Amino acid sequence: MATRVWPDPLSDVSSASRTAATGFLLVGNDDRRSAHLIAALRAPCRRFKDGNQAVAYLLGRGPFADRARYPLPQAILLDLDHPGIPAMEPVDRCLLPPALRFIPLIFLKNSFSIDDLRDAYARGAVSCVEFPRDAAAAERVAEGLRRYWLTCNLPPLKRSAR
Amino acid sequence: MRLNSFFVLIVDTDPAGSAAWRAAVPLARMDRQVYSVQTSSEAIEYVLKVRRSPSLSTPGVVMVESNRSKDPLSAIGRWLKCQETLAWVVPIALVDRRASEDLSGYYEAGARSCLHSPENLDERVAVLSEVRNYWQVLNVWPNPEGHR
Repeated sequence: MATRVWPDPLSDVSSASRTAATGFLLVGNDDRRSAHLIAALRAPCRRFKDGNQAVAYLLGRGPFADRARYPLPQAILLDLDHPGIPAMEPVDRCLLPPALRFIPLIFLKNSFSIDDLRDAYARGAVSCVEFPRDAAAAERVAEGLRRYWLTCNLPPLKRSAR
Repeated sequence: MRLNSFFVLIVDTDPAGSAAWRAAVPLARMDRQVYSVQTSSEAIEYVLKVRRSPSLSTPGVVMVESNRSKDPLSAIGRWLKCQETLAWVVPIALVDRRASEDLSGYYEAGARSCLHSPENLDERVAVLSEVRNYWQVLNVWPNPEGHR
């Protein structure tokens, strides 16, 4: 399994800003599908087309240094149904720095094979969810994601006041 | 793949807590889907037993009432973390509302999700319902039989 050593991205930020988390972070490079997903989620959702951008955001690097403006997410959604899967690798939970490793990572796909599932869980997915193309079914799935991960689950990083 | 028989194993050291969970199960419409034990040893023994029996299903979710233990997920959490063939089992820590400011210890111990510890029957029913609605209905599991 790949390993990477990172500096602690949260070591130089205040305790208050390091603990506020809100909404989803979505990684997916299919514009149409991502728009569909975000609309169905009806929740704060910041989207990145590739994993490197998402990691820069999570680490608060460059333009994302202001945590009040760019809060950490309560959960990360990885949309695997698009070309360019290698772009996802940086967001692989196993490769994230320790302070961010426990943000729940949910893999989304239209359909998972057994090998997909084994690979996903081995890579640190907390949950795998089939995100259907059918709009009505997608609404139900999005509602379930929002309800469990934004409302019920207590994230490792404190939820920001809403 | 959906689990053929989704069920939840609850570890609650308090006998009154176990009884309360049993009362909540039918109200959450989860009859025969919840099994409650009082210690991690019992939980581990139970999981080992069902893995030996082809007619029994491994629990998809193990919920640990963490308030009454200094050990965030108790021994069952550590044990599950070490079981490669059980990587798909979801440990959930039930956390006291007052202790929910810093949950990193629970996640470090292997929790994949933390929920508020229920304080009454209605909240227990709600927790069971939320767990069923997400983990049974939405989550896709690797074929459990393939891990046996």
